[in-house]
Amino acid sequence: MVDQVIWFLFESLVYPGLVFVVLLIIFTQWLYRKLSARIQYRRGPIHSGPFGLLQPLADLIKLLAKEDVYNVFGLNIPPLVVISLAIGALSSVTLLTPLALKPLYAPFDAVVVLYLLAFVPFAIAYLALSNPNPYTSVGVARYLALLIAAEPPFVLSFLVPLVIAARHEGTEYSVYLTSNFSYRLWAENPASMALAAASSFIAVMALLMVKPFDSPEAEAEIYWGLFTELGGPRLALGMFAKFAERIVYPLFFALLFLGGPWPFQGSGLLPATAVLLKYLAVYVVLTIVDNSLPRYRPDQAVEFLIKYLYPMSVISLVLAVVL
Amino acid sequence: MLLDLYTLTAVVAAATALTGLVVYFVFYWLFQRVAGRREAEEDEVKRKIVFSGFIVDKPEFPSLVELVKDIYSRAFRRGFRVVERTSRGLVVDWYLVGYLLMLALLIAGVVIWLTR
Repeated sequence: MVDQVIWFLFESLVYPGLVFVVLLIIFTQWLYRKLSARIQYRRGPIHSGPFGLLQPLADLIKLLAKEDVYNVFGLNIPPLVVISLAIGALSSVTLLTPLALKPLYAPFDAVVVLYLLAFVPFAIAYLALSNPNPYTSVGVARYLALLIAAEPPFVLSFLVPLVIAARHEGTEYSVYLTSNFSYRLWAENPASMALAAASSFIAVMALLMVKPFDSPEAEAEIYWGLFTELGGPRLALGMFAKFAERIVYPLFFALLFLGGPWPFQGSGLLPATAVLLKYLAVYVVLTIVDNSLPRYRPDQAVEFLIKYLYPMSVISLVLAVVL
Repeated sequence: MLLDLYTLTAVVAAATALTGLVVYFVFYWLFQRVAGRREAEEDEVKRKIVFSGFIVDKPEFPSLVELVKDIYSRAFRRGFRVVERTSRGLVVDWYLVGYLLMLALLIAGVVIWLTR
């Protein structure tokens, strides 16, 4: 029993939990800045650490060490607790992936994953709204409109590999078991997987506010919208949640649509390395797209998502059930 | 590690709560205690909303619902009007909708009872 508690604490707080997520955020943010800089003919971070690798950590510490200032219309402690729990949720879902040394899984555990992922955007919106400002209201409204349009297609397309794997491999809607068989799913139902992969990727772009879906924080238009009134530790925790989202969503895309730990099976060093490399490939594509496309107006984004993503995800799920 | 769904939900919820509290205490509370600096001089605009150089005492926060409705009405002009009119109609005629739902439940109950 004591061994299990120690193991639970290690997995939750160190690997693949909190410490690992923080290290991955530092690395991926450095990668994002370097890639963005190369695309824009700049050098990117160079001063902190080797190749500027520690610049995101320096920025985090700088924000955390500032005085906590919130406006007179704002709330003090509740939004900080809620956003911390959202970061906890994002860190905890990694326990259900092949990254964990002893992954947790159960029949229908996908429901738990979807519930925890759905909690995070609302925590970000709550943090933003609890420091009110007219620009923040506009940013949050755009974010909610985007969530209404992108969250259902994401859930439907997330279910497609789970349904196919449950029907053909008997994985009982478990994310970990499905990820171990996901390399076979493209052969078992290619049409459904192709549609689901496309709609899932676009939904992930919208949920992560990757261009062209970044209208909620449009810097030059509504002064960073969601994050207008945030500063110091509040901004640090908000960005922490946002960057952790950019780890978890592409990670699940790699697990369900890119073969998971293939060419390896189960959990351990090699399967975890394979998963991380696939995750980094998805992250690099998202970064390049984010730096290449112009921004949609909020109504254009919503129209695109509802017109194309809803039918695509519904058809892919129907094909997964029928074929 | 294979668990049943209820145990897994409890374990993941516990991990979420534990990690969340660690994040709060380490990244907020501890940093503010150890390294949180307060400004030496405080000016009158601190913690107030300022627009165009003026302090706004009573800022107007636009309604989120109206803003979301505005985005959707611009995205789907005709479709949005149809949905709005239909939903308004449903709200106004709530007693008729409730009556129809009750009737449907009654018919479903009778059918189930007859085919049992």
